[in-house]
Amino acid sequence: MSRERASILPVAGGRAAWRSLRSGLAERRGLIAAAIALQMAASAAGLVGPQLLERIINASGALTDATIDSTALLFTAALVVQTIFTAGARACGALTGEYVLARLRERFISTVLALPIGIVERAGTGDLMTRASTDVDDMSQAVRRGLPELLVAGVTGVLAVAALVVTAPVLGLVVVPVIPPLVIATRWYLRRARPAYQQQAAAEAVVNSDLQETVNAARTIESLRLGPRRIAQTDDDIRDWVAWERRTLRLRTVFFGTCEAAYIVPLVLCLLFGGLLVMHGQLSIGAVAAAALYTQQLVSPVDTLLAWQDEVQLASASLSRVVGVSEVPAAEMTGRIPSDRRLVAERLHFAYDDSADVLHGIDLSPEVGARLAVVGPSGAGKSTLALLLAGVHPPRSGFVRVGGVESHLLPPDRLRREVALVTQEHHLFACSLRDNLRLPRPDAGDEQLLAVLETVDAMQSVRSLPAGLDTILGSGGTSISPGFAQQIAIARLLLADPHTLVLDEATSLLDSRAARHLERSVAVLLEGRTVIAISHRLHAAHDAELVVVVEDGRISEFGTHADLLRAGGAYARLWNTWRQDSAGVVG
Amino acid sequence: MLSRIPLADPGDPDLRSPVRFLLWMAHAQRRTVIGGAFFGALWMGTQGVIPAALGLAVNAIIQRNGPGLILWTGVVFALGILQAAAGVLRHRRAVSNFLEACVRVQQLVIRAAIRLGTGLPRQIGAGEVASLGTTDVVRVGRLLDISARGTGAVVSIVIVAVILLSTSPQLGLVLLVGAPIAALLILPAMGPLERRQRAERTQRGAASAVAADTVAGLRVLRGLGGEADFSARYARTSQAVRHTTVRTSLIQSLLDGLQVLLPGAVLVTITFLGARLVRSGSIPPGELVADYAYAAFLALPVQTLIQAASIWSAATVAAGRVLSVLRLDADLASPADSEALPVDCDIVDEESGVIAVDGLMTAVVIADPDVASATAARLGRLTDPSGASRVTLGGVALDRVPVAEVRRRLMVLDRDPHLLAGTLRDAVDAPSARANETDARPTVEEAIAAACGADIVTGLGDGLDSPVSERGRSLSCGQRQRIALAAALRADPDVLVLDEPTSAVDAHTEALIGERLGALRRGRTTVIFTTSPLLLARADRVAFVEDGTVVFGTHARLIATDARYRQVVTRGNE
Repeated sequence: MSRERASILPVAGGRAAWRSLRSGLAERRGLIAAAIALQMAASAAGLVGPQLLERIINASGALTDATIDSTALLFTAALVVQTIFTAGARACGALTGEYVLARLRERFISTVLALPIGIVERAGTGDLMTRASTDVDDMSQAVRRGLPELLVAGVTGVLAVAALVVTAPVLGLVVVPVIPPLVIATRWYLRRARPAYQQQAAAEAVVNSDLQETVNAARTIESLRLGPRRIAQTDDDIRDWVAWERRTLRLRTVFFGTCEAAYIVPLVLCLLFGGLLVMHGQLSIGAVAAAALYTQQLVSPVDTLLAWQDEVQLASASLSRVVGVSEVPAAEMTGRIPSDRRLVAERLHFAYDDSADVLHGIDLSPEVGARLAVVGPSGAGKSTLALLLAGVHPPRSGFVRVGGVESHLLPPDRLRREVALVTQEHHLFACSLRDNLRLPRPDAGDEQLLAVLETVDAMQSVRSLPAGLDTILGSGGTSISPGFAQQIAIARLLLADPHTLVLDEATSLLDSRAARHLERSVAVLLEGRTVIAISHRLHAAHDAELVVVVEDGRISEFGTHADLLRAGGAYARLWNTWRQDSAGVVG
Repeated sequence: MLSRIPLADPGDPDLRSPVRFLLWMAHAQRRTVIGGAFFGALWMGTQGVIPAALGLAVNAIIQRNGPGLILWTGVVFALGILQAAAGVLRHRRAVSNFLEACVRVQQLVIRAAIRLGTGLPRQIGAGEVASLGTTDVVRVGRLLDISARGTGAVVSIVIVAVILLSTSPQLGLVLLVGAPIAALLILPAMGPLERRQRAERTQRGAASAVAADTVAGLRVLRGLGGEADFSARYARTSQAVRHTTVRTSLIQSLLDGLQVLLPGAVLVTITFLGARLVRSGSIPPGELVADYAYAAFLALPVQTLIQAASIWSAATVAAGRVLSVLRLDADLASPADSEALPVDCDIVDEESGVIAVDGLMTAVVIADPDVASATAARLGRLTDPSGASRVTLGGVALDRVPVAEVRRRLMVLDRDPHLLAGTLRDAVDAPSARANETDARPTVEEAIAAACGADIVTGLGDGLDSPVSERGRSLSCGQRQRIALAAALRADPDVLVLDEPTSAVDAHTEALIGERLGALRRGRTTVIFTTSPLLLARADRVAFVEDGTVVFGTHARLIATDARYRQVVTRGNE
């Protein structure tokens, strides 16, 4: 039930993910060493208890107050050491973990910000959004909760075995029979757990998004009276999720059952063989008692290590996805500088992935400073053409060149000075209106910003904002009308000031009169710049110097409005229908 | 049990208070709760008994009692296997408890969301609902989950208490008083930690928001610039998270130290006192070993109870939030003494003066798109009109009629409709809005054809079975509009109100839609809010609303006689 299209962003292999983690850890080598050393001291101190007990039991016949007092004193001292060093180890671990996490997530964002434009366009935001939120969170949770626990468990486990061996070397063997079943059970479990947990998480996410979608789509659901169907859908999704929960529960039943049963074995063996050795005078009773307690002290660290296995796996999957972004191959770039402002597109063919061509040999070479309107039915390939003209995607064959250099080879910061694209999809960032506008020109002053806002007819809207240019927009900020948002998008483009502008339905969300007024005032400002405006509305065509009609991935007509009307083709027919309808008797 | 999920009926919850709600939850799944408590008690109780057997085994060794050793070691082994089995069964019940509780709350909230409809987002923030679905549901689930372990903790403490007090009362008393005190002494440190953690969560949320904002606006950033600023912005919030988290961890590490120190102090005391008892001969050495093991074991149930307490407090808060949704009433009230909605009558919106004549297609021209949308919403009572003005159908005000009846009779289609995830067929195949649901209505194919959507169906790989992603993101805006229009036509309501149904559709297709729509809706009432001449020309009547007045006519006549109208619909192209 994949509701998302397959990811086109890479996922790093285990080794690459580990390498990126290790390079971060390496920068905090001292802290890591300190954490391990402190934990070793703490764990060692924590293992003193059974030794002292051994001393008391062995001396039970001739136990003196002095022995008892000194033992108690030693025990207290060990406890204090354990307390302090435990805290220290935890603190060092946290410092390391947070450093590594911050490094990983900051690198992720800066890598994302450097992704080739074509990849961003094709991957969409869904996959990246999941990586930026869920994966970063999962990874962080594992490091925050897992790192300290694993540190304690790992060190304590090793030292507890060592203590057992030191106490009674022979009894060290009692842990051996447990190893094969634990290893087999763990491997059995891990092979199945990872895919099952991933499916389970995906199914759970669907259930969670059901509620969100129900709220977001409340109007549609209420209008179309989809309520009962929505409930049935949610129940189905819940059934799906619970089926995965049952599967993972079965896995845990086997795995945890085996482990829990295995944990008692060393204690039993220790008592039996230790008892036998004591009865034959080869071992002190205190040693057996201490060894028995050590086998019990082993349970918790081993259990922790095993229980964390699948979380570690899940976290490593998240890590792979976060790190994977950096494996996107860098786009091929050229150092050549465009020689002039001419945009030339020839014999453009283009297809998305493996599907059929959407564009079939388009030639378009507007004069510098020309004003082109691209019209045509929806699905004709107009927006795809816009992406190609703006250098977002390379054509499958043919070329788009600006000043003699192929657009898609220009580095983004160069390209955006030449050609810029505004689509009807706009995004307002969660920052002030000022910062939203200044993206392309960080040094722009308020006067310049206000002048541009005036040009896009947005001053009235700006005045109605609670804090003018300082108003925080975007998610969590002041919400504004879609039309105003489009005006801001156009204002940004004007500030970027490229010599060629591609506007894909850039004013579609404004009401008709406002759109027309805006287009006219922008036109004055853009004098001398090449403007390619894509629109499904015919009014736009009327204003343009040249009209390009795109149908089914081809340019079917090209010329001035008057030329096309005279030619009497598809454009003329459409225009006349529209004209007749709108002009009616006045015609 | 898991086989019952999803629940056929999530039940009728006790809404009086969060605590009553939680008790109701527990009662609703009592069999699982009781089963979990039983195995929880068996599991932890068995663990509590193991030290006794261990002590007896050690005593048997000291007494060189071979059969005794074998007997007590056997008992240790049997108890170990029993606790493993009980542990697994306890875990299974606990997971069932958790899932059943989560699902029950999910199902209750979804049903409430459906019941409240558009009223929910008006009464509660979308973000709050989202956290309800994830965080609060889980918090309630955890409470039911820990009921099994919590019972086990209580039972095992009682068992250990009984054994200890009957064997060595002095040590027993120290342990039973000391262990809870050790646990409780940690509590004061929890307050500051939790405050810090809250601050940390807020900061983490802020960092995630910056990341999400950056990713969502990535096309803009890559197209126009500003990457460096955003990278720096993220780095700042990320570093703030790092510093806050480190500070939290420092408190946490002190707490970790305390968690070593306090139970350790009990252990030291037990060892010290036990050693003296061994020396005086009051207890055999084996019992000292047992007492040591009890002290080590008791940390588990005591910590479980502390955990249970914090889960309880989180669950009551979460239950309160769940209740705040479950308790909501629809804000568009259905009157108690409702009237019947007449059929075959005109609709009048008193606020704008628009009248839609029964059985005709009326186009409404309002230049300001926001005003147009608001008027459309009013006509279908998605919102109530302001002040004393009314929307009436055949003279009956819509707010005098049950909301469900209004929904069936009058359907409003938004200009940017929200498609739900599913297949294309799901998206179009809306439930019938006819009085008799079996009455003939346009088929899915006919509806799609009328909305000029056939090319969308053929363009997608699997035709009508092709998936549509959430919000219809996989479709273009124009495609979404046409699919949603097809769904409305398929539902075939008596009155269909369309708000700019073709604003994102090209002129050619728009003209075709105007033609086919008129044919399909012949004899039924259709109201189209539009400024497009291609649709206006197809309407039986046009209502032009401007500056508080309304002018009726046909498109041709208004074009000929009304300059303001001409300006609005032709965008000034003369």
